[in-house]
Amino acid sequence: MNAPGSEMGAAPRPYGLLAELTHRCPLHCPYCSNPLQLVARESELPAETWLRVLREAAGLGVVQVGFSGGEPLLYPELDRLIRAARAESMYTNLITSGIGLTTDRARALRDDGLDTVQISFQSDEAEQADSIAGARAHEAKISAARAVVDAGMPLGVNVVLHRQNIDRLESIITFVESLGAARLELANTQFYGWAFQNLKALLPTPEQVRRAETVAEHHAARLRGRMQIVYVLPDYFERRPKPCLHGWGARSMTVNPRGDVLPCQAANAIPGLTFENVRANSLGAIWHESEAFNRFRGFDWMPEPCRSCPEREFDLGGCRCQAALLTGDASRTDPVCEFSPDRHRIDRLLEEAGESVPWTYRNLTARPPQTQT
Amino acid sequence: MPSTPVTDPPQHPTLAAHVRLQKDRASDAHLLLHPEGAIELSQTATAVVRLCDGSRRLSQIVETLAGEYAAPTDSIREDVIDVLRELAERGLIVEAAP
Ligand SMILES: C[S@@+](CC[C@H](N)C(=O)[O-])C[C@H]1O[C@@H](n2cnc3c(N)ncnc32)[C@H](O)[C@@H]1O
Ligand code: SF4
Ligand code: SF4
Repeated sequence: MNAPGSEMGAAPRPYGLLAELTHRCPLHCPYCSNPLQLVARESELPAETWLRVLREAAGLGVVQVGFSGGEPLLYPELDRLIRAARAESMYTNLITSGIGLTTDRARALRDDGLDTVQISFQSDEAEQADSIAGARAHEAKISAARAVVDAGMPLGVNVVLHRQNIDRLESIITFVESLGAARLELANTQFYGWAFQNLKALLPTPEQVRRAETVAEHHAARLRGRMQIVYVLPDYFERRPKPCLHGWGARSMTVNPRGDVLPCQAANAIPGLTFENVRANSLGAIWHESEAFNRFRGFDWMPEPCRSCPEREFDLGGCRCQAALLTGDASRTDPVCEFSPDRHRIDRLLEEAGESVPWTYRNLTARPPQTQT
Repeated sequence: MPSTPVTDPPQHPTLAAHVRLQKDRASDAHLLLHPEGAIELSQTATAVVRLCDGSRRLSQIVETLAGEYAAPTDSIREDVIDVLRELAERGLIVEAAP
């Protein structure tokens, strides 16, 4: 029993599709992993194109689709897309802030064939949650969670952890338990997009991380069989990188609101890599033939120390986007790795963690100077 | 999280609420679909998971499979426990509500 496609030499097949329908969002989370250069409404794909993308995805072997964004509930024809995915026997997950998810809407989406809903929370405590979200959202999220449970869909909750909220982990877990969630993902902030921009304000201290891990472990054991806790390790505090995506262009893909197809939702961070668009090409051609998908497939792209390291079979050299963000070169060994010549860059960030600095809220209009097509 | 200790398999196993068992269109395999993706089941795992609908206890699953495959109960039990333990650790199989 294996993670599909993880066997050596297995032909790449996308099992999962992340469909980022829109970048519009009523919240402004400073930890948002969306790119700094957000796609404007005028450039969003029409539903007809998404319907074609879903058909082509099914043909390539996709069996699971996550509708995300931005806020996917703001995409006008979400319901049609869910019905189409379900008609292709895909497992459908709505990844949402919860804003706009009323009881009626939840029931309607369930009837369209939606399998599950994942709602993100910023904290267990309204005031803190709203100050992180940059909007009054917490109460609406609680109503949305109830709506999902009432509609009989399994509820997933995602909480992104960072310096400001990680010390509340215990009460966050009991809060999510009280919502009736089947699954809680505690995601230590991954530093891409806005989160990378706000790294200094978000990075926890090593002591905070150690405490959180003990708390998560304790409650995962306590809740076993009732609420599944998935604790996503904070990369920077590890000595070895994760097998990011189970391999570049190996098992999944992301289509962004404009129709660019990315091996990873954060791949925009890689300088010089261009992405093909579903308006011009079929998904199959992009998956199999595009430069972006082939760039880091397999092992041939690897430099030392990965090239001659036996661990490469397991961690696949780590994350390309992280390498790009921290070193400027996506083909270097993931700087998280203790053998990477760039590890000192992360160690320096960790030494500085704890300084209090303000963050920038995610926003569509005031774009930071960094530009990407 | 650091490795969790070996745990008992569910005695009354059923698919977790957010998990679906489905035949793959692109191969002969069965898949377990969940919010984050898919897991391809081996033939043994498929045989076990098909019976995890909450109507049977672990012991009944072992008996059923021992009958179907005309194999010694002990070796079947070992296989069933391995499969259930691994899937339970991933949160895909849970104890059925009493
Ligand atoms: C980018 S959001 C888009 C969907 C929706 N707006 C929401 O917040 O749920 C997708 C998921 O990624 C999580 N997320 C956002 N930024 C993250 C980061 N820097 N690291 C890890 N997870 C993050 C969110 O909590 C959410 O569960
Ligand atoms: S993480 Fe926050 S800001 Fe980013 S898309 Fe989700 S709700 Fe919006
Ligand atoms: S050197 Fe490369 S392959 Fe070896 S452990 Fe580090 S990242 Fe993994």
